[in-house]
Amino acid sequence: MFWHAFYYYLKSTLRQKENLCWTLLFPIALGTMFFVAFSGLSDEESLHTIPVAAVVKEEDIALKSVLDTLGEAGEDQFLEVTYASEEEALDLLQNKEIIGILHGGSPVTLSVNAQMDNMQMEQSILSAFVDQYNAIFDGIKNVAMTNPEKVEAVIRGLSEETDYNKEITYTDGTMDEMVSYFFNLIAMTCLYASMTGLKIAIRNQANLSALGARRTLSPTHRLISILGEITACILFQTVIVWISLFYLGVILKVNFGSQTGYMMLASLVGCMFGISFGFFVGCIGKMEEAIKVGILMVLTMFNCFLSGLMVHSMRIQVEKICPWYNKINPAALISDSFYALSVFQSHDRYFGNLATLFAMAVCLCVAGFFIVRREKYATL
Amino acid sequence: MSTPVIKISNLVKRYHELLALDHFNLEIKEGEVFGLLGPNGSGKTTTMNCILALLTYDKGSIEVFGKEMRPDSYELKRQIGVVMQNVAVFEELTVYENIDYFCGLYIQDKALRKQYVEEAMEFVGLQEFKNFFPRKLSGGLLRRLNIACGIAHKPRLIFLDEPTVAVDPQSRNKILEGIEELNRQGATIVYTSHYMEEVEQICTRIAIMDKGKNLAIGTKEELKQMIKKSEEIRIEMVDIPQEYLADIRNLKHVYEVRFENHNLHVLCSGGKHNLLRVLDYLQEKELSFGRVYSELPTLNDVFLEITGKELRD
Ligand SMILES: Nc1ncnc2c1ncn2[C@@H]1O[C@H](COP(=O)(O)OP(=O)(O)OP(=O)(O)O)[C@@H](O)[C@H]1O
Ligand SMILES: [Mg+2]
Repeated sequence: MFWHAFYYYLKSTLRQKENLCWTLLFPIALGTMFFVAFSGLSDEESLHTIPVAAVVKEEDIALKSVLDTLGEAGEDQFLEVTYASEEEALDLLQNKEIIGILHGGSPVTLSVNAQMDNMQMEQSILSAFVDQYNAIFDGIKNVAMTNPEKVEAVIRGLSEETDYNKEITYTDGTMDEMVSYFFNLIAMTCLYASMTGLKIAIRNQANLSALGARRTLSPTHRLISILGEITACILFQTVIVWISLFYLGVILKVNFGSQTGYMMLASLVGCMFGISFGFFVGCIGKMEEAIKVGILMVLTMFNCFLSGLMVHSMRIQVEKICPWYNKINPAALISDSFYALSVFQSHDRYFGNLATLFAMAVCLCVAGFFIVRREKYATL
Repeated sequence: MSTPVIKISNLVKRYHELLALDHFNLEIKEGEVFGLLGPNGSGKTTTMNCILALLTYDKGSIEVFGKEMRPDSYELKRQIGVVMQNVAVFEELTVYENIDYFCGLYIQDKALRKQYVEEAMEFVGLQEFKNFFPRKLSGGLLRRLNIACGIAHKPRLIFLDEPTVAVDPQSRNKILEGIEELNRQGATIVYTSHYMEEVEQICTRIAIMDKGKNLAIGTKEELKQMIKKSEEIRIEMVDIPQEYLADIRNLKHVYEVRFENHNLHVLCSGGKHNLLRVLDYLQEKELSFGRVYSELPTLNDVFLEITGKELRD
């Protein structure tokens, strides 16, 4: 029965030629537009050393030594560090002579100038650096508390790690502004798969559609046929995203990096989330289909906007104002997974994002199932 | 014939304030073509959906094949076929695929299913349209597809909710014949309609419902015997003086006389030769008249007498 539902779902979806066309055309057309609009931009934006001010106290020995290492003149100099007092540093930032201020302490914090929105890339790199620094430093503190004798080893590890980050992340990394727009575009394509998830929910519920009523009357358990359809839908939408990725990466030659398998996996999980999200919205309440479509559109666009699809700096603004939202915004999670792939060599952040997406998708699906499970209705 | 196929007792269903079914009772026996006749909004679809366990209800009990029907009564559902009032088919699947999809929800065996789907197509006369998509079908053909999707798995009990709405006479006859054929093959049919002609043509027993109540139940002959009127005589005339009407009213068996739109209506209850007596009287008074009709009562008359209003408004 699972395969019966799976087979007919795929068949009918592939038959909807206009739909197929639009689903594909959307990312491809938008991608091409981005590409035309941004071509040339990434050359100018190639990475230089980032000027920062550091406000440190005596006890910030670790931070100072890391900054000194990163600030050493040479091929791969990452930071140009000016040690200053709080006021001097703020002046520098006001005059846009530096990109950010690093405040010593535990944890280390970063201030940037919101008006310097032509420097978003540098700002986001700095913010990533600070995050990483704090994470590592926390690690050291834990070690010091439990196994003081190992601290030295860890610190040695830290400086190696920083070195390593410096090379990979900040100079050889493929992160540039244009690519990040494309990441967001892919995220949007994944989230728009929610429309098809919505349709599955509606077409399986007796109180929402005649087709749903007819299926409810059959001796087939509804969850089985829904599961069949959702699986087929995930497959279909993922292939659409893969085709878009192929187009952007191979035809337009957008530099996504070389981790193709991981990118395909991220698209799959992104689509799983999108479809579960649509399915869930389709399951709640007895609203008109058009209203539910509207809800999905608005939520998808809003999340994509916050994750930087239209204005690149949005993501950083959100990180400042309410950082937890970046941790659950599906658009941000998807695009960040791609970003993490292209920038970091370790996959921790990538898998962290995917795990969050996957967990949210499962929750939405299960919640949807619970609502659908009710099989008798007060009105039809 | 021991347990009824469907037994409904004291069913009450409310939609908020609106009382859709009001202590509704019904028993349907195996092998019947049972007609639920009632005007729009009388509760036919609601009754059906309650039987099928799609709708919750406020009071009463429903048994199908002697068992309580529940949303997870898959064994019962397997034996039931439903053709809903609204067409429910997939736009993107062809005639064949649509029937196969729905049949596949009941029948797992591929070979058997193929045979059933072919038979269903033949049954509704859609073989030539096998590879058509629903949007390319006319309204009548679409209804036939809708029917085929509901009955392809050869159910023992079939519900049809106004399957002939907006269908041309040719398709309608095809559908009605098909229903009788299904019945001959052993299926029990529950047929709802507000077309009394159809119900009269195919149903072995009929329930007349209005405002959620079951007003009368029986074969069409039984229903017609319940009412006073047994014959309506209609005579085309240019005019007739008022005093003659009173005379005619006093003829034997006549209980109502009207003159409207150049037509004399004489309603009689019981007795024979009513027409002759009326014509004799007219000739005696040397009144000239045109064509003469004598009509037996219809279900509409039954409905009119029971509820005081026409079945079709
Ligand atoms: N979902 C609903 N919410 C509120 N009232 C409803 C709903 N469905 C039906 N009703 C009301 O219940 C009554 C019975 O409706 P039902 O659909 O059962 O009638 P019906 O006999 O099938 O009519 P028709 O011949 O038009 O199909 C009507 O008055 C209708 O307005
Ligand atoms: Mg109805």
